[in-house]
Amino acid sequence: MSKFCSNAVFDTALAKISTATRMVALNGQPATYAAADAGRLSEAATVPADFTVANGDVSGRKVTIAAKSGLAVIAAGTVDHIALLDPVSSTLLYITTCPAQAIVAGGTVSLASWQVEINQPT
Amino acid sequence: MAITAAQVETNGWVLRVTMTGSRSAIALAPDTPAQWAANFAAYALNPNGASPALTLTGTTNGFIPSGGTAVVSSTVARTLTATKVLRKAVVATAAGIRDAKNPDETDNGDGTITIRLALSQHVYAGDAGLTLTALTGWRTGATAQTIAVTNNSTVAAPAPIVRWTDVPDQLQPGSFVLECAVVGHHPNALVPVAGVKFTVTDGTTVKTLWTTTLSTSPLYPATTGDGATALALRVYAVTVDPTTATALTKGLLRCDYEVYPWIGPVQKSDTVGTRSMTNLGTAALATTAQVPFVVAYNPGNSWIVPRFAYVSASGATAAAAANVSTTASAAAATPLATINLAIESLRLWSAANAGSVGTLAAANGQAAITQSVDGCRIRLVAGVTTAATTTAVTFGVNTNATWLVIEGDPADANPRANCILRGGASNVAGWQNVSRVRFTGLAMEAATGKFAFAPYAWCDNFEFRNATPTDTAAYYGWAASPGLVWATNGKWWKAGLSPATLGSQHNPILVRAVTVERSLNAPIVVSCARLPSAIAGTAGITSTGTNVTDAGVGLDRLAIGNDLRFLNGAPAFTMQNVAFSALPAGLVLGKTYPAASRHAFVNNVGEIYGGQSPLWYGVGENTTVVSSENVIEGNIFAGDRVNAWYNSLTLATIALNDTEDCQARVNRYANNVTLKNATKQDAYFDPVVQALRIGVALSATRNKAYAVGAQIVVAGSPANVYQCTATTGNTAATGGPAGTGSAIADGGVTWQWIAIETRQHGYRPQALGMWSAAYGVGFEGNIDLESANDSLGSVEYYFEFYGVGSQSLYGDGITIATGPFVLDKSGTANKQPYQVTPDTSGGGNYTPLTTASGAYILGRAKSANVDVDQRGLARSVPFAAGALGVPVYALTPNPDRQASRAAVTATGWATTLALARSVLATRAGITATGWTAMLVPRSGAAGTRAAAAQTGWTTQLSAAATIAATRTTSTAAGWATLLRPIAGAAATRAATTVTAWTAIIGARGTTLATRAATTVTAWATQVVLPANRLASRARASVTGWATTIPAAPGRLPSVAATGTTGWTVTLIVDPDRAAMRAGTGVVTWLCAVSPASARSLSAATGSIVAIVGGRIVVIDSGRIGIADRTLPILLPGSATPRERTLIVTGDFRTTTIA
Repeated sequence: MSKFCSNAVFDTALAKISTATRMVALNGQPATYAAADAGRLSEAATVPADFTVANGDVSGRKVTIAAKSGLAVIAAGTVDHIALLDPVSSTLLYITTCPAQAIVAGGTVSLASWQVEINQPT
Repeated sequence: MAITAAQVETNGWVLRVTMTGSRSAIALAPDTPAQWAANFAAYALNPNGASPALTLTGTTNGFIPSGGTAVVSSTVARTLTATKVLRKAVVATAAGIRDAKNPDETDNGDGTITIRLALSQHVYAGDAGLTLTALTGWRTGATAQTIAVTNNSTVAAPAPIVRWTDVPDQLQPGSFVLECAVVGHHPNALVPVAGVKFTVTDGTTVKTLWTTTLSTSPLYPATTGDGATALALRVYAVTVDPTTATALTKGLLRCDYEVYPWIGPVQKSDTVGTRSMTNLGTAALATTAQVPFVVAYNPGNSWIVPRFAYVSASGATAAAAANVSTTASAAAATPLATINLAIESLRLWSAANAGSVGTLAAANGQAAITQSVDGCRIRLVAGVTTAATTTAVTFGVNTNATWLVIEGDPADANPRANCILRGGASNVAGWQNVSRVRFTGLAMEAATGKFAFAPYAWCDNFEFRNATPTDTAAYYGWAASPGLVWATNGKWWKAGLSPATLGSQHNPILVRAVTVERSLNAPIVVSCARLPSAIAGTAGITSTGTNVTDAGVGLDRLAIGNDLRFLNGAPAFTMQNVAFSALPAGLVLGKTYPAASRHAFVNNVGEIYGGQSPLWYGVGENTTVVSSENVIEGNIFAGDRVNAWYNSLTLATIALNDTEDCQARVNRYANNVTLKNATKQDAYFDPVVQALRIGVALSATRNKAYAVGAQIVVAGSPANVYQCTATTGNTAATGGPAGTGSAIADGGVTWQWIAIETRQHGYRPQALGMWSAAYGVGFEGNIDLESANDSLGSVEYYFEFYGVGSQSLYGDGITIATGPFVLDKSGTANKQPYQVTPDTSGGGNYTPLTTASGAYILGRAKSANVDVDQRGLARSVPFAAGALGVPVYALTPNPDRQASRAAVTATGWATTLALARSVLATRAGITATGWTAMLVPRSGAAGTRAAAAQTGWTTQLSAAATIAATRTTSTAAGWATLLRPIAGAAATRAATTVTAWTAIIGARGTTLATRAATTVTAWATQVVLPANRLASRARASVTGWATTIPAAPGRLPSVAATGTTGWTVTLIVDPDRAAMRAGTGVVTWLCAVSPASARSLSAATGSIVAIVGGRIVVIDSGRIGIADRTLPILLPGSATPRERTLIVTGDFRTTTIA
């Protein structure tokens, strides 16, 4: 007897993540959209084409967020979190971590492509 | 609509495609950019997109790194793209109509057309396996397909551009560095070439050293002579230790480079390939690039004995050997009054010691040197020492091996400031009969004329200036023929001439880390900087600066990593050496003349300021040139324009204009930031040419001539063109003449008929030789900042395609209101709207802004020959175009996987795949091993086992796809799998605290574990606990283990050739015996070997072994039955013990009992 979840269920969740139009680099985990907006050290605009939903590497489904480069440093600090934001609904959609990196004004920031994957239940 | 054939033309950059279909619908009028675009509307090549519509792949000849060296490869992969459909060449004779700006399509009359397309790079002769991949819709109606392409290219791939970056003939007592600057035409990301090989020989022994990576040069201070910001010089360098076996012998050593590019042929300093030792004393003293680097190897001073002479105004006034010493302290006690006396004394010392230490022994194929002053050091005490104007040294003195050194006294606190060598009142031919002199650690001054150098002069750690603070042109350095000069780590100012070519009298070879006030002009100029033109506190310095470096005559000229700001003159950099406006004597019509080939202008920051309108550089402007194999990469040309591959002839006669043409081939133009980059080709309307043809010079461009009617072209018919000259008081009554006569009165003026539509008279239909540049072949990552709101712009100057990843703002109609740099201090008469108007000092900061203003520069470049920017900031792909970058912070968001398995985020197991001891596991030259190990959850089993009877994981060891994992000479398999808990992760089972599992999977002896066509190995081992049994219980009556070795699926048991068995081994505990008690002498185990389930024992070679009453019974072939029974048998005279009897039934006729 196995467990199962429809891809439609996964895709619905991933589609919500894909509504983000801002991807921000942060120091620490923000608790709210406002905190993420106020604390951003660098930012990339995202569009629907930056989100690609496909089968998961293990199972289920995943969304791949496109890489971004040439981003300006908004404020100096140490980046250790990346968040996806929906400014229309002021929603903090998703937060992940990243290896800590100090950034200072005068440089640019590049964000590698990353993924969120939801697996089949086991 | 499908492609039926494709080929690369002989020029190497045009792809000719034949396909079914018909020509595009075009219109020649109106002659506007909008109509031009409409004429090409059928094509969607998308060359800068993620998926270009036409991709050409193939292989070429080159080299690849291998084991620290570079090895030849004929299969270096290349991927090119088709960037744009060519336009038709202009047809000047069709009055009023130029058949250009529409696609070059030919109707073949058989339902097919042939289209000519530009490629992103040249295809070279010998490139093989060319395949064109076309995506759907690359042309309207075209389908996706892949087709082979014929290579007709006759273009040879270029060799790298290379020069030594150090001064030859240096005295070296031990290890020394060899280095050279390398610029490739096809850098791979940030690596110029595949590798560089250096060889060093004494004529007998050859040492070879390789490097495949760039490094920062360890030679010379990392600052300019003015102590300015460090300018990192990245080179290919090795350190040579002559003492390692086999040791090199003392004397002159010949050093050579061999540079192996990713694509193309090797470039060697030894063009003959014999490592000739002939005339090695002067072999390295040459203007050409392909010469050896020579070292005077002097281990332990065993070849050249050090000698010193000091010069002081109060010193001896007569030359004598006694004033020379092999120790500095002794020589300092007996100084001489002049340099001439010092040289003569050194010569006398050598003569006095002829035959011993005074003669350089013959060595390494070179003759002995008598009266040698090689390597001698003449030290000037603090103060001014005046050079003589007459020759006072006896002829016959020699410096045939290494430099005579004239230096400031090292004992002085600041010899470069305090020890001054001043030229005499007039020049002296030669330098006291000494051929080569190194001036170091001092200041040199021109007094009332030229400062005389030796024929070969090396200025190192120096300042060169006029004695008085003036830069009067008459005061400069000068040398007797051949006048070759090396300048390193110095400051050259207050002089009429900087290190720049002056005929045979002054030919700088290497200028490195030198700050200059005026020009820089040498075959290799690296890490140099210009002084501001206005220098505070130095009255009389008025130089506005002229050219930075004129590539001039000759091949392999490099300018790398220079700070060329503060320019207030023109031109800065020219790639032309044949500058003429009329046909020079001896030249003939219809011929092109060589000018700029194999020049590298890389990583330079350029700034022009002031009210002039200078040109940064031009190729083929007012000249007829061949421009080939050049690399212009990673420069900032701020302040004014670049006329790259201009092909604007402007020759004096119409005959010349009708026949001359420039040529451009295989140039790399990448990552440059320009204010304005213009080009002219056949379709450019040139008013000068027009004037030549029609015999009347119009006042300006065609826009200033009025045509009859509203348009130049009306229904394909040309309109007459008139001009008038209005004098004071006379004005035209209309905007143009109305009529068709030869002279039309109009108000106070008269319109004179000139020609039928002038434009065709301004074209040069033959000027097609630079089209490869006009189509951006070999271009990438450039940005031209000419803004659409710039009044300088004109559609006439467009490149047809500016290169892959490049952008021309004007061409794209982009307006930028603010500059892209941190501080723009450029600005000339040709300023951009966002520039200063014009700036009066220069000295801006051309680092790109990280705001939107700099967005066109940042992240644009993908490959380069230098892996740092002009200030030494490391680059990573992608990086900023231009010479200056910004730090790039690479963030890597952690991916998230919502596994939802028992709430754990990690399993507790780790699998280590290791080679078994002493076992080979060959891998056929590939970089991956042949096995992969996967630790996967068992189906239906939890990954974290609590009370379950089995662990939840299984290990699968399988061969990686397409990878062989054979083992060769060993008898055991080469792999072992170790399954164990990872540190800190619990892998508990029930009540125990640790498990101790080890599963070893090995191949049987003499059996290969090779994997042929199958996808799984032939063995599977399962170690499982029987249900409800505890592991490792000491005194249990039954152990908890059972081992089952099943046959692999699909394998036959007991067949030798298969390599698998069909047996099951069961280990059973004797019910009456304690398990595994140490020290007992009784075997407690019974071992039964039985056929696997449902397997027959009828195999002919099978044997059964049983133990019967302490004897081994071997039963040969035959069917048997074995039963274990307990029977009550009474033996005579004994008690009635219980006996166990093994009853064997079967055919015993062939049974033997041992």
